[in-house]
Amino acid sequence: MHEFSIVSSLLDLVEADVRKHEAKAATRIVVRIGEMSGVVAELLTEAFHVCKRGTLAEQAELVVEKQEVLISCGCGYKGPIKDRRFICPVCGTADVEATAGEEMILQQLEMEVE
Amino acid sequence: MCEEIHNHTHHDGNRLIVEPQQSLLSNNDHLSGHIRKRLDSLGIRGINLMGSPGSGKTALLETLIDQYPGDDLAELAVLEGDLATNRDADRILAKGVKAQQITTGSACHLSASLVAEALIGVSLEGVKTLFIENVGNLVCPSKFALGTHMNLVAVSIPEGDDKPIKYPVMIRVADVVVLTKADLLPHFDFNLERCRQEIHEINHHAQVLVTSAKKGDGISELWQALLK
Repeated sequence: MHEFSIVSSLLDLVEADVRKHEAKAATRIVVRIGEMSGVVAELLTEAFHVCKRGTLAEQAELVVEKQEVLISCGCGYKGPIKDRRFICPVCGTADVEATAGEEMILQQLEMEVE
Repeated sequence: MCEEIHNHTHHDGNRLIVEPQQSLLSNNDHLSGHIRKRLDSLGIRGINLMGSPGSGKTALLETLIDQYPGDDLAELAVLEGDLATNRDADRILAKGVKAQQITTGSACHLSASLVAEALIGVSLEGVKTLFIENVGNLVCPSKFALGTHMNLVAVSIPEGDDKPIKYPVMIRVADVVVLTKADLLPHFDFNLERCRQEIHEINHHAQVLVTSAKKGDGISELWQALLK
C-alpha cells in the first residue's frame, strides 16, 4: 500500500501550490495515473480521503484519469500493447519505447482565491 | 469568462486553475538526485536490491561479499531496509562489511529521505559499491528512486516462473533480474526459458542472470554485471 506515500507526496505538492498562489484552498485536483504506474486508482482515491483531513485540500475533489500504456516502435507503430507485454503488435520486436502509461502526474489543480 | 494570465494559469471568478504537469513523486525524485550526486562525487556505485520477502536478497548479498572480486571488503557498504528487525544488517556485519539498518516501521518501501538519513550514519570513505537492500516487496519499492545507479531485482525459483509477468511494474525498472535459488530448479516446475522470454517481453533492456547463493553459482557473472 504505497498509495499512502504517494498521496502524502501529492498533498505536499498541492499545499505548496496553494501557498505559492496565495490561494485559500484546493478545490479540485486532477491526476493522471498510468495503468502500469504501479498505483491503483481506487486505492489512491481512498488514501486521499483519509489523508486530506487537516490539509489545504480538505474540501477538494480528486479526479483520477487513467492512462493506458502506449508504445512507439521503430517500424512506425504507435499505439497500445497487449497483455502488459511491451511487444510491437505489428513487427513483434521487444525493442520498443514506452511513451505513456507508466506515469503519475499532477495534471491540474483548481484553487479558491479571494 | 476565463482569462489567461500566463501559461497554464487561468482565472475564473474566485477560481484559479493551474496545470503543474508534475510527477507525484517529484519530491522523492529531487532528493534522490541529490543522493546520486553525492555518491558520484565520492566515486560510489549504488545498487538498489529489490524483491519479495524470502526471495533471497540477503543471502545473495552474503554470497556477493564472499566472492567480492576486489581486494578489500572495506570497499563495500550495505543499507538494509526492513520493517522491524536488525537481523539482516547483523548478517552483513558478521561478514565483515559495514552495514546500517533502516527500520521502516510500517512503510512497505524505502524512500530517498530514509536513505539520505541512513547515509548520515555510515562512513563512506573508501567505499566503492553501496548496496541498498529494499524492504521485501515486489510492488511498492519500484517507483521510489533512491539515488542508486542500478536496480537489481531478485526473483527466486520457488516463487514460480510467472512472477515477472504478474509483477511487470517491478520488472520494468530492473537493470538486472536475478533468478535466485537455482539449486532448487530440479525440485520445482519452473520453466526457465519461458521466464527469460517474459522478462524480455516486459523489459528488453534487463539482463537476466541465474544464481545459487547456496552453491555460489552465477555470482561472478553478477559481479561483472554490477561493475559494468
